[in-house]
Amino acid sequence: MKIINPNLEELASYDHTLAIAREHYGRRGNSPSGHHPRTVMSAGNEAPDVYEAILLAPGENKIDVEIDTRLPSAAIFTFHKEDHTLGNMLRTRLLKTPHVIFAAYKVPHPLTPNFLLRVQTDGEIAPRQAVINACHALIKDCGILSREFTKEFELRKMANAANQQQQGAE
Amino acid sequence: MDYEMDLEPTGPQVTVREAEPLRVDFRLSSVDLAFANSLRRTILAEVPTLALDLIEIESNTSVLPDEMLAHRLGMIPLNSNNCDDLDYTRDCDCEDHCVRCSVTLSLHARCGSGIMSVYARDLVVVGERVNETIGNPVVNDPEQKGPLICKLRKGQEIKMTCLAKKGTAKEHAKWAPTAAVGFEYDPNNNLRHVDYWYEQDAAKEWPVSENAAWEPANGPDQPFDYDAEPHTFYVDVESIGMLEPDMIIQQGLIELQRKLATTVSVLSGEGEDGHAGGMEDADMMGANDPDAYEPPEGIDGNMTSYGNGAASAWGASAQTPYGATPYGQSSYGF
Repeated sequence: MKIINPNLEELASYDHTLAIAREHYGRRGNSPSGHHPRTVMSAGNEAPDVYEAILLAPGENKIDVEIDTRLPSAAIFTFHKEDHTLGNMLRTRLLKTPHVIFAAYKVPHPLTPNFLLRVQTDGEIAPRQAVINACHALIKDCGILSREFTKEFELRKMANAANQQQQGAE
Repeated sequence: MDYEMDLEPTGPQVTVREAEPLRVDFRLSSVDLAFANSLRRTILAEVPTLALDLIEIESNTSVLPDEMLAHRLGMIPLNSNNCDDLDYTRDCDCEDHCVRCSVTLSLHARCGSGIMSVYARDLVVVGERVNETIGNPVVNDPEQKGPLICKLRKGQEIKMTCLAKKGTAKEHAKWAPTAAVGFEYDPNNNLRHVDYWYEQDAAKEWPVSENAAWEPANGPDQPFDYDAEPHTFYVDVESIGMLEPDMIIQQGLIELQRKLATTVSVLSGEGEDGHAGGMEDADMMGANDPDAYEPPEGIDGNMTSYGNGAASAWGASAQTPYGATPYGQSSYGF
């Protein structure tokens, strides 16, 4: 009997990109807790670990907060295993959040599954609080959108059904 | 900030323009580009679905090699309704896989005469599963056959047990719930985000899309508004059939909310050392789980062997990373 992982073939190429990502990450030398014992897969038929780009390594924090000491009320948040999806959304909302005077994000390298978010406030609230406020506002928006969508989708389905009935009657 | 109580009259607005069994076309307005794009990105890559992930081949006398069959099987869409009922195998408490984190399907076909086509409908769910429909192959064609898996000549046989697991398209495209997501804004190019290449006249050479009828075009002598931002988006989500199109949107929103909630819980719960708690956070860390690793081909039988007694198949080198370290040093308690 033979056991086969269907995505093995595609993963072969993934191995190389991961190796580059790791090297890049190491060279930058700013991974406080990023190194973990499982990064030893490279050779031969060992399946490379796709989860390395998705899941947090053991001991890795989701978010590292670094206070930017060069300026008052500024902080750099490093989000691990997140990408533009969260980064851009947060940045845009932060710019609309009261007391925020600077917000920007960057993905240091396309092969590293993390992004940096830098936030500066006017001192009324801490940068951390500003991010939390922005998240709450976005969660609320998602909730509204979910309800609106459900409502509109049901309406559209009902309208479609009515149309079909009408056509059937004619 | 109380985000549930003070419901403003404004907020994202939706107009569903078309709703078909496998497609939904809607206009999303009063949101910014980043939000709309994040929704698009989550729908494309982070909505969990079900797909075949581990194939045990008992016999294969067809002309296709085992690997190719396994690859083809992985691509077959399976019903993923209420996928939340299912755990990720890597997060599950079980030894290798169980009913709560996988669905088992079997495929057995032998050709008696002529040429036999094996279709996705021939995959049958065996044993228990978390709900009634999950794991059923998606069949949408009039003949109710589903995608073709392979063809067999007289006397040829395939017999295999397939394990379907939950995953996201970020890991592998076979878990993608959508075939395509259309996304357009500013069809009249009022914002001039697009600079058209043209030979004589851009307006003549670049026909506007159908969405242009849904918003006014700026006149040629109208001054350009430098502060204008996109706020209306035309989204067309095309489902593969694993999930209903509206469920894809809803799941995408839930996934976004989960990301944001994780951020909130990490940032509000953590101390100076940056260490965080929270359930959602723990959910996302499963990297040290034994099931995160699938054995490659060529392992004889014994599927649970790679925990400790796998020396024969693996060789000594493979023992350390999976045998010793990850389980022992787990900081999450499982």
